[in-house]
Amino acid sequence: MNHISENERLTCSLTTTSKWAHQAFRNILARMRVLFPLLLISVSAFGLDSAHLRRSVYKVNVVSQKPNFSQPWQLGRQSRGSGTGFYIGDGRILTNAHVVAGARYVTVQRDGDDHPTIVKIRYIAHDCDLAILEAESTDFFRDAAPLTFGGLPKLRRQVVTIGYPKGGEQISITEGIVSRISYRRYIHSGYHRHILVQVDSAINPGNSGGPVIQGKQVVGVAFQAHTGAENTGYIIPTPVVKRFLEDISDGKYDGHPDIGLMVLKGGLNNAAMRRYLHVEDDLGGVVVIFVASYTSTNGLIQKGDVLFEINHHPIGLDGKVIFEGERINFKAIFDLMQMGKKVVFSLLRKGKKLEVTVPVERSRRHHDLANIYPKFPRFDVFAGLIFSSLSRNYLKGWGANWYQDAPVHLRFIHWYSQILPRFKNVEELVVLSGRLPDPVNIEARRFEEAIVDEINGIPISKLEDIQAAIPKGDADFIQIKMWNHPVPIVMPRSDALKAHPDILKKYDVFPERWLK
Amino acid sequence: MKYLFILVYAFLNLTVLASERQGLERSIAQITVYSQPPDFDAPWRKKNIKTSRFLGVMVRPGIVLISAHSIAYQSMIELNLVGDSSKVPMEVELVDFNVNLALLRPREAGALKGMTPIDIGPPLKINEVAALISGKNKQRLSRSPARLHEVSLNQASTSSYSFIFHLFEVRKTHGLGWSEPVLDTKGRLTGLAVGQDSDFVYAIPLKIIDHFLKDWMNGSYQGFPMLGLRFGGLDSPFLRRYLDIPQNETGVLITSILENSPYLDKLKVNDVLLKIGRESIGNNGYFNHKRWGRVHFIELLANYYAGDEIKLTVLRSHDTLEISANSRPYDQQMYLIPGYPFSGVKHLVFGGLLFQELNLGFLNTWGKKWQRRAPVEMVYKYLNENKPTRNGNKRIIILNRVLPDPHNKGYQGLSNVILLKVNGREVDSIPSLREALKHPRNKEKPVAVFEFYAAGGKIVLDYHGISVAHGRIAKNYQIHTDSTFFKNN
Repeated sequence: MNHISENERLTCSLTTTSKWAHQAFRNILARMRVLFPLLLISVSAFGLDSAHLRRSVYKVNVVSQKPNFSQPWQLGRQSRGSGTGFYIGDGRILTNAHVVAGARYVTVQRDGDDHPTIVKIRYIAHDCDLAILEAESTDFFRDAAPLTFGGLPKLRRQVVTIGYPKGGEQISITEGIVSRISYRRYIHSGYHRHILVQVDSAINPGNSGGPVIQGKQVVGVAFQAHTGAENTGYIIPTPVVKRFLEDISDGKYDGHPDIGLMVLKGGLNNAAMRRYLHVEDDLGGVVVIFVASYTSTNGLIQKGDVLFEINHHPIGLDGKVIFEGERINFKAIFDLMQMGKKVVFSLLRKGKKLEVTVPVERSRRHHDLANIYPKFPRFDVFAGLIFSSLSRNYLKGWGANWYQDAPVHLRFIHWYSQILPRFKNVEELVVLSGRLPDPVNIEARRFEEAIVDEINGIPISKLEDIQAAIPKGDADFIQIKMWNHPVPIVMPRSDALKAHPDILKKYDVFPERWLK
Repeated sequence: MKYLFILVYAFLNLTVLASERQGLERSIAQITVYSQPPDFDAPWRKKNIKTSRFLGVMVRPGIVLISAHSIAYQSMIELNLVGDSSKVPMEVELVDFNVNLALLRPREAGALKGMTPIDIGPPLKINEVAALISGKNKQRLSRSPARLHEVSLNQASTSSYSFIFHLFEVRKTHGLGWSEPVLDTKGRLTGLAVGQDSDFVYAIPLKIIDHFLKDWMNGSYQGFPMLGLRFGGLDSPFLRRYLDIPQNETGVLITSILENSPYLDKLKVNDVLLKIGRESIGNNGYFNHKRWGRVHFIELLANYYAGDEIKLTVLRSHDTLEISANSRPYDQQMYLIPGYPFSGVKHLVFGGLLFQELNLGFLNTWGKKWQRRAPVEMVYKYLNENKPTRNGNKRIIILNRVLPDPHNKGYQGLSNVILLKVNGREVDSIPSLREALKHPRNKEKPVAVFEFYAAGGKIVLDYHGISVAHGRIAKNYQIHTDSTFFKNN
């Protein structure tokens, strides 16, 4: 017999005499490969077991009604939907704004509970798609442990998404990897951009509002899926969530600031541009090409300025800064500031280095490039003419491809009003959105969807101007001039004033205006 | 006896049909056009050669009528009789893109001896049935009954000039509208089909064809007139009261007088146009046509040739005035954003930045739905700000795209932006762009500064090294035309 050490003898025995046992063990191990991580996670997450997770992550059920932009005094049809929310302490549940937008009735239910609990929407932030719900009684949270927040999730590290996607009633857990961190538009807003994290786990309808966990902490809120790619979802990362929570700490949501700047990314890669703007070789940065008139940067930052630092974060030629270890668009720094704070830009203006402090303030206009979620859209009705505020939602009345299908002049003015002298400083773009037919307004049918320019010679800059302008001008006629229409709408004054209440009654219009 | 009658009737009809067919095939021929439209994304070259087939109809000895659209960008044209494969080379005698009509003649005189001109018929009436002749790719011609449904104002696909079209109901419109002759029941020409949608085939009516032919026969083609005015309807009784227009007067409100109008110093905004010639105009812009009933007054312009005196009767502050002027030809090249550039795409490359004129051809690169897909500011300008200028030499210049090269590093993502200024000078044409580029900024190290519309921003390129860059770009992107590149001569 060859000399075999004690260990070798044992190994050989496992290998040779117990081959079948070894194979069986490997089979079992393979089956457990799927379950094992879940078990591990459910055990390791927060140090809580799955039962605790069930007490802190809820299914959110919503009955909602959207506004009706065609007949803005009416609400749209009711619809039902669901999402996920999770407990963050102090009797609060965090979820997505889009889960509860337009809600008339909201309940939450835990996996294993036999009944839902009514909740109220305490705060809703459409610009960053977050909302806070509060239960009627704090007893609801008696067994719940609040989930705590970490920092920006780490790239290429694993995350777990917890929620109630469609396809079942029980809590669901899916894994993924953090695949990208960027600064992009949030769909619910349609306009606002914030830090956005991409994960390669499926985020399905119903997952919205659910926690995304890395290690033991929440690193984001699941909220969007990529419809064109499989297993690609997006989460709102904790810096945006924390900003939201800090914003509402004073009892009021102020919203994200709009930096109002457009820059030429990469332009300073060109030597001629650098020389022309006197940019030293060791300086990065981006050139400002547009400053909106309605934001706090107006008057402080100028076209042609080279921004090379924001709050002492150096800005690269690609417009990115290092933020929590990742490179991100410099605008994210401004975006995360609270109203009332200040942002310091280090910039080059005509070759001279300057530091400019910009106060973080609310945007100064009604005309919102973002989606809005009012109870009623802003509108006014006079003599059967329906005047509405032009908004992204209004344009979405032309369908999912509104950016192609909506009338050209509305699309144009929606994006370019800032550079049209007539509309540069208006608070609101007023559209003749419809007509309640009556003999007094019969000629207005050719002007539907036109932008209102003047009424009785008074320029219209917001809906409130309509009631102020109607009494003015010619004693016998009310004249409404539309932008780009040489011929005005003319109505006999006495006929219009007489017809107005009759039309409201005939078409059951109430309220006749909503200017909130 | 009964069967004999049926046989004789059938025989006669067949004979008539056969002889009629032979008659048609002596007047209507198949035209093959080899064309190369410009490549708007690379305007120094043309797209692949396209072979298309149409029908042409002989209207005078040796002269064949066809739609202008058929021969746009043509490099070669051939004619063959139906059922005969031998080709006769043809060339363009006259083309008017405004009304989408062209005349062809053989390269060799007398080559069309086997053809006879078709008779010209009277105009059709509404509901009258005509025959639309097709067969551009077949061995024989065929007829489709076409009922004249209505006449309406429209524009040729080749221009923005508006005139009255015939709308025919045809059982199947698909595949029609490619220069098919429309004949009346006696086989006489009464229109030319040039377009279709799911409901109708659109045809240029006889009056326009007749005007076109007679103008050509006069020796020096004048074209179709324009008034250079814009109008608004006056069918609102409230508007009429507001403007104090007497109830018994009907007409349209003149809302704008264009810079190239022959009436520029004669008419005023808010004049009411009551008559053109002797025809009174209704409040909605329609007049009573003897044959067709209510028709848009634009139809009346086809009674005149460009250069003719056109008398307008207008109402101004309760006074009726007769104002005449010698009309001018409509010319789409006078417009800020003109129609198709049938004579080449004007462009210029500087340091890899490709600049060219904005025109309808460029907008159409976004396809049939260009009004939805093209950049909204360009579509808006075309639809709302496109006016003629006095000299017709003002344009909107766009940066189409950047041909990547080290010289233009940092700007390579720019495309489809409107150019406003170069080196501080406003740019409103390719020549003015060239001129502006001759005046660099910063004499020690000259640079060209480009300013764009809205958020296009401002970019800067070196003059130093530009010739070398152009050499590289020409080689890289196969640009062989010398005139494409800016040269500071």
